[in-house]
Amino acid sequence: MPPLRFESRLPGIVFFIMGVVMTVISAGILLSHTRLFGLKRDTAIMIGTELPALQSKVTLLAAAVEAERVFTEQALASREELASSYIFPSGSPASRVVTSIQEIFSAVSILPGNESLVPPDIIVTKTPIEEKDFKAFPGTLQLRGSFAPVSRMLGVLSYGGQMMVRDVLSTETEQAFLAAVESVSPLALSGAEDFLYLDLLEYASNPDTSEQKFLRDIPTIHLPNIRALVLEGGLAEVRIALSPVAVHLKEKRIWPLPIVRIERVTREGDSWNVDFVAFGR
Amino acid sequence: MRSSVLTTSISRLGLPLSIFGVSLLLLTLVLRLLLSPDRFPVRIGERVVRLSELTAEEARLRTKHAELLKTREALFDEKSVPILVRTEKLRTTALPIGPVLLRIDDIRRSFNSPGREPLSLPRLTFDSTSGILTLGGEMRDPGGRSIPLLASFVDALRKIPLLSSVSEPEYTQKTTAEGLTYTPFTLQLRFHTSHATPSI
Repeated sequence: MPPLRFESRLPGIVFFIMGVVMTVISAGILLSHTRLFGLKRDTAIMIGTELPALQSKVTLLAAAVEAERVFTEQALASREELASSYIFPSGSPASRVVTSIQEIFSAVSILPGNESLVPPDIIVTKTPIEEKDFKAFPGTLQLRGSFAPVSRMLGVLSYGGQMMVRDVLSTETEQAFLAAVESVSPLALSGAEDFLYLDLLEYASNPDTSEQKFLRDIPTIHLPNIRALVLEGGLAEVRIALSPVAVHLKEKRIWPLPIVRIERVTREGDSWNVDFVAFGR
Repeated sequence: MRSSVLTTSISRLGLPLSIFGVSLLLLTLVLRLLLSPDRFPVRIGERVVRLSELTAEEARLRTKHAELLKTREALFDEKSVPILVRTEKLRTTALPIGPVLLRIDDIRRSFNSPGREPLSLPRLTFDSTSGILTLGGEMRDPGGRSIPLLASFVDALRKIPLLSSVSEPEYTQKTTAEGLTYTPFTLQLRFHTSHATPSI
């Protein structure tokens, strides 16, 4: 066949280039599709192996949340009643405050090394300062004693208004605690939630036993971290302040303590003057 | 001559190659649409599942998990416990002077040894409005180490998490008439400002 002239060869050359380009594009599409297949398969295997654990986690969490919903309604209802009677009563809290401080003094003064403590003088104003949501009753507490027993008395008084373990912990600590328990042992979640609603004085009376109840379902390797979370979150202070006097406070039935906000403290030698505010509705 | 033979060959191949290229491209596109990985089952252990089902199930479980966490956070219904809510608001206005004093006492006693209490804290003022606790006292040590002991006391106070800062005292050593060395000090301990008490 004779060779074609250039002008008549041009369309053929263009078709040739088009054909090559489309073949290359097709090859690229086939290659990427093959890779996609492999990736999706690996993803499926990964999801498939994680899915049973995720299913189990969701099932346990749903059960725990439902149990907590029922428990919370009952627990909070009873706490609301206690708060309205003892912590934040209607009218003047003076008698409750005076009784509480006197019993705290009794509990602290019998501890070894606190013999220097002298019965306090307590004055609570009869006429309150009216605020929008509460009535404030300023008062004064005069104490004589050394640093140790007075700091213990004020330490116990600072737990006025708190009833449950969760009252001591911040919201962030509470959420971090539950998240940590759920991540290492979803089975322990229900016990951990019950622990948060445990009466604070009950905890202070037997802190190790109370912690053990929810810790027993947690793998040993994770125990120190989870325990450290709640201790550093405030329960270490509870052990220091409340545990030595918990039994006495229980026996004398002055728990929960009324809210008393300490405004000013001055000390000169063994004389202490504490200005505080008590609250009523 | 050679180039004209080459270009002639290319031009003759052009149409068949372009027909091939178009067919291959169309076929590839059709295969890509029809042979989606989601349509094919994957064997996982003893189960054979489709990928689309797996991913949908995983997404559903993760959504449910997030919803349950939100439900749990919302369990404390403020409207049902108004007194507890007001109690909590009042509690948060109080500075934790009691726990801080207990920690200070703990640190103070750590310096004690049988028959000796080197750290004395006879003066103290606390004002909740400013959030400052002022401690006045002295560190006594017959061996002349009152200054390093005071420095350790200040370091220990700085580790109390409820405090935001502890001032630096003046480190001066004095001697009593009986020849005992001591270092008087005044320290200002500040509480975290988020706890500052609003005055009534």
